[in-house]
Amino acid sequence: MTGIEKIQLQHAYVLHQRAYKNSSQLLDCLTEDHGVVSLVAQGSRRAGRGQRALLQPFQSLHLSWSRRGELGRLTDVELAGAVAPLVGNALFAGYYVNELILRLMARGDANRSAYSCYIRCLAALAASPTVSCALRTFERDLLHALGYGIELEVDIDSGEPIRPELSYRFEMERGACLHSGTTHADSIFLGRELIALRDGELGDRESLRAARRLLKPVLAHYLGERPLKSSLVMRELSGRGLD
Amino acid sequence: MSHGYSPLLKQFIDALQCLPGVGAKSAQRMAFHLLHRDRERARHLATLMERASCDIQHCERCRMLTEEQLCALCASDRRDVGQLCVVEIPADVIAIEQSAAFNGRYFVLMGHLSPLDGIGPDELGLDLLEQRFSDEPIKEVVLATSVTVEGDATADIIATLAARYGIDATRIAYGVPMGGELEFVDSGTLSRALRGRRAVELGPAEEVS
Repeated sequence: MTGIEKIQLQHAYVLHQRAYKNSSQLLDCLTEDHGVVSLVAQGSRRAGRGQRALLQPFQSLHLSWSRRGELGRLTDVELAGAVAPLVGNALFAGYYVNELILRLMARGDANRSAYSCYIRCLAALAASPTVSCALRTFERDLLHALGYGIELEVDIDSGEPIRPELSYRFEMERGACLHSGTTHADSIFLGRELIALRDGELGDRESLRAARRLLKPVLAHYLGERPLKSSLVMRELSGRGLD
Repeated sequence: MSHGYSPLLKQFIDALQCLPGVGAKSAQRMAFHLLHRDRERARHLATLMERASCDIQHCERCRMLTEEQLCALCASDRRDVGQLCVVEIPADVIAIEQSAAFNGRYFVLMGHLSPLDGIGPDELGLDLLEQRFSDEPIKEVVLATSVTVEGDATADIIATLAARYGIDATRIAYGVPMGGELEFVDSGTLSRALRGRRAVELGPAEEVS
């Protein structure tokens, strides 16, 4: 039998929680050094336990747990610092970000760069009233951190740098190559749109829309058939004008 | 686990496992108990489960579970129609009733917004709630969803809906519990308690001596 692994005060965020048995919770957490881990918080829903107040999504925490195998048992929670709470649009964007992490990151993949792009994204969501810029940057960085990075430096056919005024065709898992025709397909982008996404300069509407048009199919490619539940909920909300 | 059992017994044990927190071992124990010691109550349980699963529906107006068209609270004419309390689950209605601090009507969401589980406005019956906002003379909607990130998000959305119908939305207070000493209250609760602090209501001045 393998020994019990004990982890102390690991910086982490709760991505998702659901009720488990009478008074416990099952948590999916993103941690700094251990990637996504599943933990049981025993008795955390019982009255008088302060744990539950801390075990909220988007809260910066220090978690301690012990585990043998996949599922760990939470032993301690501490607040790691005050974070600006996400409200309204930013909150739902936050759920989307959490779901992306859960769906794209393999369990046990201790990925520090994914962790830091998650933290950057939460800060950006809390700071800015428009969420789309923070979301596109996060999507780009997460893909990069997970090894699915999008090549936007050079034309993949010629090796020439991408030029703002030219048109390019974006190919899945390859990159951008010069497009000579005049057709307007969804996979055709202006050089400057690609450069804006590469440099994270998504201040204007045009480049934001282009970034979304480029990233959406790429994410769908890695996510597979099953749609993201948080996107469906966001759509329901905006259908009622509640977003 | 139920390998050597007869097909019907095996089916029975498997079926019991649909209950929350009941695994193979407990299901087996329950099945033996019902069959071996308490057949009469097993039959009683079966009849009740049959009847309950057919007859108990959601109340047309508040989504509380009931076998009538309207639950007792919605049917009562002694409740204040100007106040509507929005809660997450039927057990919350009972809890608030026991507190005896509320005399309005209820609306049960049967959950809270939970984007990662795909629970959005449609699942929470917000259409029905909006219908009530437009049809009934509601003055105040009391948001008694749980004090979690999801519960707050649910409350925000309902408050937005209520505002469209000119209805005031209030959120139940939260913070230090009765009998709570600050030293033992967790920092998260304490910070909310401080943010939600309120002015002390002074009674009419009285002569002390």
